Amino acid sequence: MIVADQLADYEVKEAAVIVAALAFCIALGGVVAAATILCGWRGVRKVSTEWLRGRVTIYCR
Amino acid sequence: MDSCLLASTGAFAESDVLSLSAGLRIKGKVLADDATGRHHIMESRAAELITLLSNGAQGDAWLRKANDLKIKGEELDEIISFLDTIAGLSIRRGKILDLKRYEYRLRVILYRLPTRGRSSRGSADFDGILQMVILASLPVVLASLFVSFLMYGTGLFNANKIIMLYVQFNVTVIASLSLHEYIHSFFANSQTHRVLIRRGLRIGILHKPLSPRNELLSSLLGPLGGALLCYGIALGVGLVVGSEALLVGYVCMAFHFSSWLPFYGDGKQLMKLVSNRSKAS
Repeated sequence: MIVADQLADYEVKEAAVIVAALAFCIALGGVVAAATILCGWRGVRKVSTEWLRGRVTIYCR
Repeated sequence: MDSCLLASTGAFAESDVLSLSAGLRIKGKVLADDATGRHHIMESRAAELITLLSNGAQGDAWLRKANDLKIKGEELDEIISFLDTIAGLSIRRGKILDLKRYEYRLRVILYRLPTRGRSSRGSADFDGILQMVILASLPVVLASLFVSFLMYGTGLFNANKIIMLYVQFNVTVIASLSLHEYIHSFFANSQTHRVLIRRGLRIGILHKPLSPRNELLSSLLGPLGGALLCYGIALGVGLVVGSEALLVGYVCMAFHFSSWLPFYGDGKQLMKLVSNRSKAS
């Protein structure tokens, strides 16, 4: 029905920022939700993260 | 209704008003795109149907016209799919609570059909960019609000600190992304007419090919400008909130630097420039 102009450049340059921000929110939310479940009513004292080893340590009150 | 027609109508409901996006014009059987300077050739029936969009048409009237022109479901899907690819279809919601629209959307999801009507164009001046960025950032605003409530529940931070960090994070993401895009738009403006395009969470500037110098500056300075603004905001908020504000700033800077990854966006453009240069030499 339509023959597209072959030289058309419809590349969308920006892709990362909002996707990365949403991924960060989901990851952070996951850690905080895990901390809430693990510590329960006592609450969380501290959360330490080791980015390189991919490890999160949760300290309860 | 066959699956192709269903996929097409999944893009809009009968009550919606459809029109051609800014920067698109019809000249006979040619669909001219001023933003990229390209010309797409249409079959006569497609041209007649798309011409109806020049002045805006209601969804049901447009579908009736397609039926009158004996355009089959898969042909209509091809037209809508093409317009969606170039963000050429502007959809103004007729009724906010049109249950038909949700029914179509649900069927499209259930039948695993490709979704249409997700892309839109806007003005590439600072106001237009800010408006589009705010709309695209809504999922982040909501997700970070949910995380803030969770954080308050754990007792990790007090309420004041959480509110400050929440506001800082969202203002930083929106302002820095707007600046990032404005820098791209600025470099595109020096040579061409340009348009802002949004596809779900993705935002970009649509323009004619730039000179290698402008392409290089645009791809380098866009993410750098966004990252510097993140750092500036973090320094200011850090004076009140403390070290956590700086951490939020660094995270937001990383979002912009991720644009330099070579798979897409600015990083892909930079790789293309490097490979073109090595081929030339």
